[in-house]
Amino acid sequence: MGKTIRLASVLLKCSLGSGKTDETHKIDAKKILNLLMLILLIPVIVILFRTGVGAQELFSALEGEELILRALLFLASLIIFVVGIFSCINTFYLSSNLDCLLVMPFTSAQITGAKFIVAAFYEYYISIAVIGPLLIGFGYGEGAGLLYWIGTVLTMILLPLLPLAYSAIIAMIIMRVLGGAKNKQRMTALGAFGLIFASIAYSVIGTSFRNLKQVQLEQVLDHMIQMVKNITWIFPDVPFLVNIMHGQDVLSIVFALVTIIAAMVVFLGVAKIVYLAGAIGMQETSASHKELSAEQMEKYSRQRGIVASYTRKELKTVFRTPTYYISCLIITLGWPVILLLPQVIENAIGTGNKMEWVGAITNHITEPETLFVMLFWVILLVNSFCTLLNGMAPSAISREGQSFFIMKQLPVSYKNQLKAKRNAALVICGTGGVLYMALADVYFIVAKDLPLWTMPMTILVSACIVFIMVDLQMIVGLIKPRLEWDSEADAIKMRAAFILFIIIALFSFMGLVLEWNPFDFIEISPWVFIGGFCLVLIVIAVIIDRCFYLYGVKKLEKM
Amino acid sequence: MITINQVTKKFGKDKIAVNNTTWTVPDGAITGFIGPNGAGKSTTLKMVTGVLKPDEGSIQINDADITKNPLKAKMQFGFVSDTPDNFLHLTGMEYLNFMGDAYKVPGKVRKEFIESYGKRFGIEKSLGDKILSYSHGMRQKVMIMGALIHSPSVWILDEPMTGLDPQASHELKLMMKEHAASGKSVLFSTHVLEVAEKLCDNVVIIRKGEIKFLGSLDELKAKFPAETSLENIFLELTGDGKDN
Ligand SMILES: Nc1ncnc2c1ncn2[C@@H]1O[C@H](COP(=O)(O)OP(=O)(O)O)[C@@H](O)[C@H]1O
Ligand SMILES: [Mg+2]
Repeated sequence: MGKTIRLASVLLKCSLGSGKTDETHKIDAKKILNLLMLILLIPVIVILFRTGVGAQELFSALEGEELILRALLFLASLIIFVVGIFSCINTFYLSSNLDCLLVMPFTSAQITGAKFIVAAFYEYYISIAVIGPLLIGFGYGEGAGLLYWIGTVLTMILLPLLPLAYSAIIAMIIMRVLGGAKNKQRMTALGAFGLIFASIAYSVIGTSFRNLKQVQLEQVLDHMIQMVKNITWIFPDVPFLVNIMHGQDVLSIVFALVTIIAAMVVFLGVAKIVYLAGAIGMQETSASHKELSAEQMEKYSRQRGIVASYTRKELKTVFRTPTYYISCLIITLGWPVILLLPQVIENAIGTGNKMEWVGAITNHITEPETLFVMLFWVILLVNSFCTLLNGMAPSAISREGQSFFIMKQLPVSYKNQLKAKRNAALVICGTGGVLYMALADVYFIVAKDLPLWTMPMTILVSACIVFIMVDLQMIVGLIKPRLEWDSEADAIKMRAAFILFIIIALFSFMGLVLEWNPFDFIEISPWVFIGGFCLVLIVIAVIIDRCFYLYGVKKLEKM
Repeated sequence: MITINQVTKKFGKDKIAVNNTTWTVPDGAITGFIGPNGAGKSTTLKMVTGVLKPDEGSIQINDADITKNPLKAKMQFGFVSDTPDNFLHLTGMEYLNFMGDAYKVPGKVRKEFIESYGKRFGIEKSLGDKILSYSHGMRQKVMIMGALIHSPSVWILDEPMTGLDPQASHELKLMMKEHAASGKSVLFSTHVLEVAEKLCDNVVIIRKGEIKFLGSLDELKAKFPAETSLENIFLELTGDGKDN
């Protein structure tokens, strides 16, 4: 135990350490950036807090407080679980200090235990930034007693542990099963695993919610009770945590702890059996050592423009480094599959309600203007999702790591290097955003009789949004690049982007739910407005692009 | 004492990095593990230290099998890898203390060790800084100290001289000699022949994953009486080295 905690503290220090070698500078760009993030976070926290207060008011009237708490904690656990699978694979298997640890006399339980603590640490931002404000708002609305607040604190601390233990177990089993496979196949299989898994989860939850729409409002509560009862067993600590807060039950503290400890014991037990076998030889790749054929030689040595060639290099690096592969590629390119696969499966089994869920949302909207506005919010949501949760742009410089100096030595202008890096990010984010937008367009045009010209328009808008966000993220990545990392995962920490995404998502959701139509205020035709909007977007894109090069070149010269 | 018994390692289907090798590292001697780039030195050392798992064969450190009883085996050796860029965000001191904890070294012993070795390497003033701020050679020195902090009975080094200045590499050679003289074993890989010639009691020459020679330097010279220098013998044994 002592050794585990010692190891965990060392690993945490390594992965949290700032890139600076001397800590004499009082104010630097990083601090300002952090401050900015904090300021951006405040409205989010306020919104979440008020949501908590509102939820309390609403559900206390319906006597459903316990229910909503359960649902909330369940949802949070689920998110932590899914995110956790990826972060467990990263911290358990893909960090470069693994080789060092394997040489040292640690048991697999000690290594995994320590790495678990590290992984848990990163889940706490969900705990602190999302669950915390909600629960505090809820308690404030209720005028809750001491035990509620104790329960809140305990929940924030304990909640991530159980789902993360699940993720760790699944991560270890996946890696063990795929242990024989070599790097690339392994990662691809992993991606497939993740997608299938997520789509099943989505399908289960989706079904529950879809049924929800069909019942009468009075039945909603009954339905929810049933649903929450049906699924909370997955995370057995949730009822106990809720019991502490809402049921004012001291004994539940013990039960919650016992549940979590049991999960940890199972996790460590599994670790003991499967971890080392998967971890040893993680760095192995296969090498064929065949001589290149004349054709290949010809192909590889063909001369290209420098920016194109540099872009290809960037993309290849991302494709071939497992950590980047997961966080830059699978997450962006995989999610439509998550949305579509359940549909395909349902259709295949024949129970299919062919895209009815989209129909259900859009059926009662008839006038194309409203539909177009809805489409606009969707574009904003989808594209910001694709770009902001993708690590390509912000990690562009950090990915270089200690070989950054090569950037300086290459006889290629900084501007071109930056352009190449930006383009690589554009390729991936663009494929994620614009391509899927185009698909959505086809649906809207075919099924909803939207005029044909919405297609180029939406694509133009999403291209602009992607472009702007990528440029912005490149700038963020340039402000304080992390060149000295212990593992590739360090290069792509994206807390800033995460928060920005939550903000945009909140607005988009509000826009969608309230069918909030900005054109109502200014009383011009939405078509004119959107046209003008496109123009403005393009102008912004051009300006930001200029700033990006100006700042980027200057910054690179200084580094 | 290290015993390597019929060990084979493949990467992928066709690439055999280490092919059915059997050899030992005796106590009280320095064993040089010599071969051109890509010969399989690092791969072998990674298997010995438990980072890679051999496809076939077994490896013992003293009496402990590295795959069957890894914890016991790992307590017996100290390893200096060829990349010293680890734990960059710790200070040298924090790193050494961490290693001390990992190998259960008593506080007093630890302190004495750090003081004396810090002086020997001339980095005692830098130990409070982050490893990040160290040069390659300084990082190497801290890693060497970390590997020796529990005075292991087996000391394994992968290309240790790379990046060390003349004083430091002289100091390191001295340390290796002391280590062997106290009845413990030293195994280090290198492709620099002068180092091997001056330092080793035994040499193991590997090429394309196969052991070409094992024995003492004198035996090696006796086997090739016609060749005048170790370099020529080496070239004779390993070809031109352009075959990886
Ligand atoms: N992770 C790996 N994946 C595939 N092949 C590898 C890997 N590591 C080493 N090899 C191959 O094994 C052979 C031996 O490499 P290595 O042991 O590193 O050589 P060296 O003697 O220079 O230390 C080389 O041909 C190398 O290409
Ligand atoms: Mg090597």
